[in-house]
Order: sequence, then C-alpha cells, then structure tokens
Amino acid sequence: MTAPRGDLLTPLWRHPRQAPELSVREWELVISQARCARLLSRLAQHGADLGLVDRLPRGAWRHLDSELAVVARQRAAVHWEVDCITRALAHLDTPVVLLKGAAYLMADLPPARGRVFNDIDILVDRRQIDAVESALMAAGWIAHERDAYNQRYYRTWMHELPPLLHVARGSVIDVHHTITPPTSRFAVDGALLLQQVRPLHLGDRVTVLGPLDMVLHSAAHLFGEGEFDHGLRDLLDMDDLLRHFQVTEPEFWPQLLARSQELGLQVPLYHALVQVHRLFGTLPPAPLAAAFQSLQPNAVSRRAMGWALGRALQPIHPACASVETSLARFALYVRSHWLRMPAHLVIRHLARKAWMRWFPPKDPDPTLTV
Amino acid sequence: MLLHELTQAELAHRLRGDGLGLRSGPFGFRIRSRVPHVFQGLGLLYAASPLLGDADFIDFDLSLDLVPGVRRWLRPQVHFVFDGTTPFEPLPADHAYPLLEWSMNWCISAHVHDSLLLHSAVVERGGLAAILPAPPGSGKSTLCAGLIHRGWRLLSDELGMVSLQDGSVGALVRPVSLKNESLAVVRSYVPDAVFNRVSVGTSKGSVTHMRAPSDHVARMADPARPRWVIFPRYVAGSPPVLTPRSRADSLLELGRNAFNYTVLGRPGFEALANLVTGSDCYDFQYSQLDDAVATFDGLLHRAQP
Amino acid sequence: MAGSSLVQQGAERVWRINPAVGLHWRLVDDQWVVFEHNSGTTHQLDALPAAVLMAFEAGRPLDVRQLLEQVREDLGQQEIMHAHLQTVLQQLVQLELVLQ
Repeated sequence: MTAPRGDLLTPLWRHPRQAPELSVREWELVISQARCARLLSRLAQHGADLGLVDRLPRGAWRHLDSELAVVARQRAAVHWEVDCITRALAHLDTPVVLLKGAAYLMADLPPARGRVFNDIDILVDRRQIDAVESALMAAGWIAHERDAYNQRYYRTWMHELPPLLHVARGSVIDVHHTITPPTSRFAVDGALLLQQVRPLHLGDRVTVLGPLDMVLHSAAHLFGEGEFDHGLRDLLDMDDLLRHFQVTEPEFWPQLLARSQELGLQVPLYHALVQVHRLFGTLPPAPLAAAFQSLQPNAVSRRAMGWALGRALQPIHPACASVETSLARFALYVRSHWLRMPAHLVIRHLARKAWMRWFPPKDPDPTLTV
Repeated sequence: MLLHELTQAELAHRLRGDGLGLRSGPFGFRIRSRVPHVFQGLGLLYAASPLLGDADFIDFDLSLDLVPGVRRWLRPQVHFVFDGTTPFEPLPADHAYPLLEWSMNWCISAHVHDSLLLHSAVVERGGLAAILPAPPGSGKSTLCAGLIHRGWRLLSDELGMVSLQDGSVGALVRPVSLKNESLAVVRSYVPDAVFNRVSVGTSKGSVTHMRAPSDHVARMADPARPRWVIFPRYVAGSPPVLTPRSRADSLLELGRNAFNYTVLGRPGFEALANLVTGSDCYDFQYSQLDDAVATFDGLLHRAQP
Repeated sequence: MAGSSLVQQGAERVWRINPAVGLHWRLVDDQWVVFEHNSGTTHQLDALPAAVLMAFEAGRPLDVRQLLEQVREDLGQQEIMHAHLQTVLQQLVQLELVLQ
C-alpha cells in the first residue's frame, strides 16, 4: 500500500463547507502536515465547526481536541497579556496598537478562530519607543535576545526592538513602530498607520489597525519576512480578513487599492492577492479587476515571484518536500533579506544565521525534560 | 495479533520498511528503525504487546535511525524523527533503545491534551489505583517495579493519564525504566523479570527497561479509579513511614508534576481537585521493597470494607 | 488648641479586584485553592488571603479600613491585625489579582 503524498492540507480550505472524505492514512497525513504548517488548531476548529468528531477515524479526533484545548488556553493567556501590557503602558502618551494574532483575537475577527499564538506584537508611536521599552522593563520584561549582533540587527535593520521576555510569565512581546522594516523598499511611516487605528472599546487606549492596514500588513508580512513555516497560515488569515471586511466595510476594495498606493504596498498586495485567488478563489469585484492587475511589478519578476511564492507556500513536510520547494524557499529567504538590508550586508548576515543553525542553542536532552 | 507471533524476519522487515505498528493503551505508534538495538529491544520487551491492525489510526509515527554523515563511522549517533522534525539532540547509538522509549513518552506528553497527564507511576489493586508522582530520582520506578510483581497491576511507570470526563486513570503498560542501583535491587527482588541490555553513560547513568508482565499488558484497555496519591521517597536504611499530606498541597504538587496542567486550564484544575478530594494523600518514605508492598497492601485492606 | 492636629491630606488608598481575573474556587478539606483562568495560575490560600480576595471579588473598591471590617466579619475573628492584612494585600497585588 503506497502512502499518500503531496499537499492534502491546502485543498481543504478551497471548499471549507465540505466535510473532507479521507482515508485513515490520509487523516494521519493531514494531521501531520497541519502540525508542521502550524495549522492543526485551525484544522481542529474547522473540524469542530463541521461536526466531524463522529466522522473521523477512531483516535484522530483526540489530536484535534487536544489542539482545541491549547487554543482555549492561549486565548485566555492573550487576554491576560494584553491586560498586563495595557496597565504597564497606561501612563505613557502613545496609543498601543495590537497587531496580528492579538489584534484578531481582541477585535474578534475571523482569523482568531482556531489560532495558536506566539509573541504579542504591538505598534507604538516611534517617538515614544524608548519610553515604552523602559515602561515594559519596569513591569517585568527583559531583553530576550542576548547576542549583541542580533540585537544590533533588530535595532538597526528591522522595525522593532529586540523581543522582550517577561521574567515571570515567560511571554514575549515585540514592539514595533511601523509594519515593515524601515530600510526596505516597502518602508511605511508609522504615523500614517496611527491615523487610522480603531479602539477596541469606546475610549480604550488599546487599539488595532484600520481594516485596510490590517490587510496590507498581512500582505507585507507574507511577502517580506523570509521565514516560511507559516506562509499558508498567513494567507488563510488574509483570506479571512478580505472576506470579512468586504462585507463589513463600505467601499472596501476601492479603498484597499487606494490605501496600498498611499502606503507604497501595491506590490506585496498584488502578490498576496494572486496567491489568495490561486488557493482559495477569492477575488476583488470584477469592475476593479483591471485596477488591481495594474499593481503588478514587471512581467519577469512577477513570474519568478509567482513561482517562488506558489511553491514555497506548501506546508513544510516530508510528504511535500521536493528540491523545487526547498530552492523556492531559499530564493524567497534571500530575497526577503535583500529587501531589508543593503546587498553587501546580506551575505554576512545569512552566513551567520546559517552558522547558528548548525550550532544552535542546545535542545533539551530528552532525559532531563519531564 | 501480538508481537511475539511475528517471526524475527517479519519483525525486521516491518521495522526497516513500512513500520511496526504497536498499541499502548489508547495510542497507536508506528515505529521505523534500522538500528539493531531497537529491533532487539522491541522484540524482547513488547513480545506480549498487541500489534495495530491495518485500519487502526496511528497517533504517532516515529523513526529512530543513525544520524547520517561522516560521524557515523567514528562515534555513531542516533536521532528520533517525528513529523519530519528532530525534536532532540542525537544520542550515542548505544542509547538507541532508551531514546525510543523517551521519544514515545515525549510524543504523548507533548501532544495529548484531552486528558490530564501526570508525571507519575500508576498501579492498581482491587480496582483501586495509587498514583505515585515524583521527580526523577525519587525511587518511584523501583517502587513501581516491585509492586507490580507482588500483586499490583501496572498501568504506567511514567505517565498517569487522568480522564477529564470521569477521573479514571488509563493504562499504557509500557516497559518500566530502571537505572543505576535500582537495577540490582529489582533483579534480586524479581529473579524472573526480563530486562533489556543496559545502556551506560546516559545522562541518567546506566539505564535499562524491564518487560511488563504479560497479564498486565493484556489489560491495557482497563482503566482504574484513583484512591491514593502517594509521594514516594527512597531513603537508605529508612523504615516505612507513611504520613498524611494535605489534599490542597497535593493538588498543587500534582500540578507541578504534570505535563500539561498549564495547558488544560480550568478542566485540568477541576480534574485535580476531584482527584485529591476522592483520594487519600500521603508522603511515603522507605528503603525496603517488602516494606513498601506491605504498606500498600495495608492501605488496600483498610480501603476495602 | 492651636494647630496641633494634622489633617488627612488626599484620598484614602483603595484597592480593587483586577477586572481581568476569572476566579474558580474549590474548598479542599479546610483550605482554599483558586484557579485564575486567564493567567492560568493556581493558588493555595489560607483563610485570610482567601477572605480578602473574596471581599474584593464582590466588585467594590475598598480601602484598608473597609477591608479589615469586612474580613473580620466574614471570618468571625476580631483579632486580625492591620499589619497582617497589609502583608496579605501586598502579596495579592504582587500576584496581580488585586490592583491599586
């Protein structure tokens, strides 16, 4: 009996209302692929929504149910973290803008369903960033990154302080002042974003990005980050946001178009929309199709990027791995760093990162871990 | 079908090819390995264990093989691969079998959150279970190994699996891990026991595994109701001393000794509260296995009207 | 009497329950264990800290004097010392269950 191969995961979201008909071996593989792609929790939520518990092979549901327990626990934990952060920064004169997962959760947006969170990302007024760092440290956060080179990388080349770790809770917070690296081709002035933030509750200091900026952030993050463990997840998030906001926001698509031009994020938006259409069928309304098409970069880079993104978005799993996929992933990784740092610095940084991968901090010895 | 019904050739063929499917309580493992120690260890220690059927769901697919590269000729190492990742650093090839057992424990403890998983041994007699939580080195495995050869049934020596639905404890019945001095103690206490070869120089010292009694393996589908929570402590030369321990205190200590208490949130809290409320909790200090068996039997006797 | 008495300046310090907490209580034998479901922390509390926390759980902010009165009544013990209460209060603030 040949084991199933290929990407079983992505097709599930092409037809989200259909209960998947899979064999025992296929369910094993889907669960395994979902775990690799950090989408097990989303799959679990999907399974719960479709009432699949009785339709899975015996034993399979436990994996999804277990993941739902993690989701529930993390939702509570994110609420707590956001509250702690808010209290720590309450005395400062800056809005506190939640980004990504924390924003989706606190604003009750679709990508929050079935989500597992990692760090909390916030955006603050650039002029207050030092004050924010001090206030967080006074409330128990410390520098997480102790390597001096990486510290400099974060501060100089990326758009954020090095991550901060809370000494008691072990949670991590990333503080940003904009949504893309300041040195990249797609740099965005944070002040523009702050103009459109929306409070979570009336009078709340805690805010989230405006819907258009949320979508553009998602596109820019996917396009510019270089780490592809969760490319598929981020595209699912983006698809969720598009489908949600096109209903809740008047004139959403024309405004998205205009805002992408205002922030200089047309190219990431274009690429992200191509992928979202390819994988899930989502499209801007027909009258605007031509306008969105015109966002595309030149034909050569478009084809190359389309190929690279298309391959690189498959879940990283032995059953999906091929030379082509690894090359694509590497090509995108190099490109992301090029977007972020002047070329002559890229090789030095990548070589160092690669070196660190061969001599990583020790994984815990299994005999010592409980 | 049980593992010992396979020929050696068939066992080797499965391990080197599509994988050997083994059941442990509710879990299905598929194991692939070309390492001879793994083949030998499995054949010896899982002889009475049920194999998975073709239609059985495999919870954890893992492989244990030599790390490729120049190294393998100088100081061969093995690593455990799960879902295309290697969660742990490689270990010397001599430690391949213990690595397999630790990996199987890790698979369960890292991914299963529909039950409360305690880091504890669990044994049962007369339908009542004793949960023995303990940090490494407290002698719980020695105690467990002794009890299960004097009338107590093995549910697990490492993973106490408490149902969130009804508070019962499930049986995994895998080989019991033993190390250093406890090996000699258990060998003399249970002359007929079957042990795997000893791996030396692990981070825990010398390690081996003891085969679980086959009638215990046969009962891996039978859960048990917890009745006692006993925190053991081996103290050389000590007489048996059983001291009641506050239930509230025991609740917190169990939480500290659980793999996933912090993941489960409120259901985990309620499960632990129910567990301690329904159990007598003790600290237990001992040095002789016979004393321990007598103490435990005494508890059983008092619990049964 | 010329100017010998000190006038209390400013408001009395008040404390309140952290609105972000969700508490689940179990009485185990004679001790309280409480699970806070957002932070995911579990606490074993003696009678006094438990009574203090429960007093705040009712919702109203309390100053020390009000708290002392409430707790003495709830526990039926008039001997509870102000200083002892302050210590307990500080511990609960450190755990972020109670805020100033």
